Amino acid sequence: MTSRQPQVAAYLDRLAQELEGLDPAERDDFLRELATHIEDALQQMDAAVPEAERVARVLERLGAPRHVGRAYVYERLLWLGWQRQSARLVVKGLMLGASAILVYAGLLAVLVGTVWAGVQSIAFGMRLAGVRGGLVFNDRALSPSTGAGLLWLAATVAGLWLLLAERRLLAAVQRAVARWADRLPDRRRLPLPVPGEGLGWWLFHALQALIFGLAVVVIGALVIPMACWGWSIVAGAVVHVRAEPFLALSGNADGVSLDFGWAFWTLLPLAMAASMWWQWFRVKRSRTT
Amino acid sequence: MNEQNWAIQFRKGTLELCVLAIVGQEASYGYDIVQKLAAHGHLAISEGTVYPLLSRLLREGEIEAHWHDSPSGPPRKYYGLTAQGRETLRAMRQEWEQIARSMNDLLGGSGV
Repeated sequence: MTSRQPQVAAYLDRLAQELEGLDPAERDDFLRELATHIEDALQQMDAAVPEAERVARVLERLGAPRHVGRAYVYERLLWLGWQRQSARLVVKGLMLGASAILVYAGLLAVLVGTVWAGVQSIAFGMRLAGVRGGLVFNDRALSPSTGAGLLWLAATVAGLWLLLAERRLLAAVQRAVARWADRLPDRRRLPLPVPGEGLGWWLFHALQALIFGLAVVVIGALVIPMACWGWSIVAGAVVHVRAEPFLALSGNADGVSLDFGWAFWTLLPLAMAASMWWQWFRVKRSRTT
Repeated sequence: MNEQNWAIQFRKGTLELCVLAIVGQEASYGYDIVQKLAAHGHLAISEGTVYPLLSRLLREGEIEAHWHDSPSGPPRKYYGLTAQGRETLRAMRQEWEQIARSMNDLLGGSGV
């Protein structure tokens, strides 16, 4: 297999995208079987035909990845209907979502609490250090040698990691819950929503978007005031500008504090919309390429 | 619904019975099943729809599957009928014969 490899790999990749959300073992077995079909079909074709053309014909006869993926989802739904376990699926789905939310809410609560303690220390340290007077920063509250500073640094690192690795963490939580659900007496695997399962798919990703949005709120409420505060230090030290205009940007001219009100009502919808749009765009792109 | 669509729906409606019948004759792998369907002309269908159907029949317990090495190609997934599948095939065949008889009577009687 030489020049046909990229074409076949691209076809199987697109099909894998269509089947995103399936149990990996189930999906891989299906893809392996289709790869075998392609190999068999190519072996049966006239060797005089250029290889790229042979591959194109085989893939055309097999059907577009979108159609094969839809057919798979359709048959899967028939199976679910046959098992009459729709109600059970809804209960398990809700259980899965609620568990993920609870775990995330717990993590976020710890994060917010930690950040809050750190920021309060920073505000207090700023006053002690005379930042508002334009002096160079020497806030001991930020030093890892102090408890509050250490917590603040840890919370910042954890927050940034949460923002960057949200999907990975969510996936880990989902896997843990799914494994637990699989140990329930009925022993049936928990099918995750896949594109094509309509409302279930959108609800699943709406939950993910909500979680992503909450993470953005926390990080945004932390990072933006911190950035304003950082600029006030630089400006005060370099050009001797008073800190108030910069601090005002953070919503509190008397010091830095977390104002979750604006963050919640502006960042949360934006982040949720961005997350949902991205999910929709990924599906659309995988179906049109 | 144009002619092409209703013809496809006809074939799709019989596909499950066709696949069970093929697998019931001897253990077969996906490409083999597709070829046997294609050999019967009017039963030919988009090849990619056979595999999802096989996966459902497998989940429903109508057929069983095993990967086997092949001397002339990649390892293949062979399908065979289960006891439940044999019973389903028998019932479907009976139903099909009744439908075919009724349809023949109807179409013959209408003078078409």
